[in-house]
Amino acid sequence: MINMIRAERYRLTKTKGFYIFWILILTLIAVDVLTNSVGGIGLGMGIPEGVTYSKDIMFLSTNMNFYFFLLMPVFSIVIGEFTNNIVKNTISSAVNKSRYFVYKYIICMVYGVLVFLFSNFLFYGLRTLFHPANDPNGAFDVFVSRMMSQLPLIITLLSVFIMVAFLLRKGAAYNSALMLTPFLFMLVVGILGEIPGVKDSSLLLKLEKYELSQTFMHLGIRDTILDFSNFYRNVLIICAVATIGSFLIGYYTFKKRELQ
Amino acid sequence: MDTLTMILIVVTAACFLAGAVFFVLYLQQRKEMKSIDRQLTDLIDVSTNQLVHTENGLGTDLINTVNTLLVRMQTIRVEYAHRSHTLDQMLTNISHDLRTPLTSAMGYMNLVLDSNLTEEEKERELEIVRRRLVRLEELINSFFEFSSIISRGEAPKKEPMNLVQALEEAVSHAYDDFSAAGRKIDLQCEGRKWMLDSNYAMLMRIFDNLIGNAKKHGVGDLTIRAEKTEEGYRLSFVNPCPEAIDVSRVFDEFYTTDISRTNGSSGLGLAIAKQFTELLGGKICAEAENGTFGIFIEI
Amino acid sequence: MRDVVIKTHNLTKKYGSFTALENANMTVYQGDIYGLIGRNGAGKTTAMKIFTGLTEASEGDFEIFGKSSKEAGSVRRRVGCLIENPAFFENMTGYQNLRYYCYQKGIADLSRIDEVLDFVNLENAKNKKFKTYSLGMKQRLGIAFAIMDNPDLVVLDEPINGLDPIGIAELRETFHMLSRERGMTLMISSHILSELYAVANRFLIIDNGRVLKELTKEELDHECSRATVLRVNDPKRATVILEQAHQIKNFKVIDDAEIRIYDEGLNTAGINRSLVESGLEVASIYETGISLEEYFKKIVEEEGR
Repeated sequence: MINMIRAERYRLTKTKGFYIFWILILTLIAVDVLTNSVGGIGLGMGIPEGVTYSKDIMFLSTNMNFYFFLLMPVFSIVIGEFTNNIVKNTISSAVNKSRYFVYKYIICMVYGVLVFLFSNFLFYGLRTLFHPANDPNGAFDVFVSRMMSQLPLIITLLSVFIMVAFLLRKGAAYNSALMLTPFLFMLVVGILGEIPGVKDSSLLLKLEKYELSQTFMHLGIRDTILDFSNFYRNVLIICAVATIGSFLIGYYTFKKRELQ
Repeated sequence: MDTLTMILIVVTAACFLAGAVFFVLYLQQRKEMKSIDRQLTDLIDVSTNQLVHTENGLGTDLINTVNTLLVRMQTIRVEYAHRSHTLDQMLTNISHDLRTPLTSAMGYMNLVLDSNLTEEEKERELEIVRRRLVRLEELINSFFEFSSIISRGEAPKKEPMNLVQALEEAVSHAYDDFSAAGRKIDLQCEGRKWMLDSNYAMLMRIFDNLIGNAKKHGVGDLTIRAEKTEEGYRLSFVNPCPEAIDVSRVFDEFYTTDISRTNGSSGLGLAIAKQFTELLGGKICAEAENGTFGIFIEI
Repeated sequence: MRDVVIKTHNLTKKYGSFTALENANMTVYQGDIYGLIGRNGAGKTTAMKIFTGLTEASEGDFEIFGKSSKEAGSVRRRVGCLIENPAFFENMTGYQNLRYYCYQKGIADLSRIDEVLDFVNLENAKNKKFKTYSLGMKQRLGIAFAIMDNPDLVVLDEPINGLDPIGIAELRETFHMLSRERGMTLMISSHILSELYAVANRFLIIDNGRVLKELTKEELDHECSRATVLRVNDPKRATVILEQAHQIKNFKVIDDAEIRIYDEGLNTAGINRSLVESGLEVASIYETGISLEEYFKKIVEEEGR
């Protein structure tokens, strides 16, 4: 296990993607801090008007960014080794298929979670040092608790990414599938919203409520949703099911399927 | 929250973190030690090239030292296995090689005993039997000579001698055989008297074997060249050879290009030449290129 | 008796309705350079994939280093392999690629990388990216990878493919060195018998997933060398007649019934007559000897039916 991590660390630092990834994240944080803004991706509806929140909480509410950021480490850790079937070298000499999956899963998971925690803390820390006098950070413990409430979502996303990477095995397929999914989801919800009959149906409302960028926002701000505890409980259940499900699907299909 | 509480919390957290790091390190160290022990236990009963692996990079120095020892042991084991395998092969080949002249000699003996031949004819048959037996004796002798060199392995007595003279003598031994086959031996040597501390008898045996080998397995003229070098002398024996030759194996005991066609050669000639050269403190190597085969000695 | 490295028992592999390997039985001994010969798609790679854990057999069983296929994972480290074409990370150098696998396998001594790169003559190209390598260099890096962890069994799939004659000669040297100096057992596949002939000492001929023949180099030589085989009830007397009546000197007594004559242009009818006239019973007298490729074709045609 440790050997796999050492190997992965060595290889990652030899790829361009690794540096691009960190430059991207650091630039985003630096720009956000310096311009005193939060430039994130929010696909759904914005926050309610008339209320202002501190910038650290706003930053958390746009953590949908990490959906796109975290595609990259999973890509380089998993997909890289499926190119030209390089994975056979490892399977035939170091570890067997099931262990291989578990190790890669853990490595992606740990790396992804660390990236998430590190970036958010970095934003908070930098902003503590460089905030405008009239716009300080909110309380630290509030920031931490809200960030932690987003962690299950991050874990679920990573788990799903890993499963998709192991299923598709091809870079182009993996990228297009996962990049487009949130937009497609929005498109479908948007189209459904225009149809008079389903416009106000409870299903559509639920879809809108649990849409990914919305969920990030709700978990970050919390005031945007009426019964938060109920909502959060549902999110946790969905996350648990999706995480375990994607792990099992990824594990068994990889174990059963022949390498080329 | 006042500053003091804040500092206290931070310090506690830092201590806790440091403790956790040390604990994990300790666990990993222990894991590494256990893994080294387990791997070594597994290696005890198996003849393998395997070395000890690290689990997490913490025991690298220890593992490298253990592996150095393991590699030494493995080298000895492989050498030993190689020797015993060669010996097996030697026995198989010898029984084949000895059988051919023996079968033939017995055939003639039966002929002499069973049929009513004239005295003159019998004498002729017996002469053939004698020649077969001589051949058999030669084979057995070269086998014993070789095995005694291997088992003895002691340094030979050296005395000053003339290398050029030795070469000339060796050439003169084989000259007639070559001429009879329409081939020549070309001895290229610039000096007349090049002195060397060596063992005359062993050197002669080396030269005889190399020339004999060229006669048996080569075609065309044999070129022998002697040159002075900084450390001593360099000799080359080169002749055309159309067959494909595995130069890494020519010095093996009983190597012949085609195992089924030993042509009455024991396959020991070059092996003996190599052993002798090395006993005399020289180096020998073979090269095959562009249809020629050459043996080079530095002594 | 040498140790058995791999022994299979009716090994079968099916991909859907396609049978890649059918009831294959083979035995690889310690120290062998074991050559798998067969046309493309004959089942060579499938067999190797099963031994190296890349795929599982559908039916049948095999033993590797005395372990059953279920426990094969515990001896995986003793096997170094390169299956199908050599594949490494394109954007990393040869050295970096090997270093990645060093960490992965837990090889503590990183100087081993330079050692193996030197061994396969890649030390000059070790800092070039893998994608710039020629096919021959890729093959050599693959071999370096396979032998890096001091394996006892090296499994190489078509390592001779794409090499020039000099490269092939070098590779042959390399294989002999591994076999002799390190005591490694090698399993090598090829679709060209004559290339494999120069390297291997035991052969397995395989076609359409079926094992047609397993034989040693001596047996192959025996099958292929040009000679006249004389089967007779009394070889002792026969040798006398051969020498006296026919001036034949170049022959070998194989056993109590067989003599092989290596002279060419023999008058077989004449030999037969003189032997029979002397009261010997000649069971048969025939010429053997075909080229390796002819032999391979013959086996495939005969046994393949």
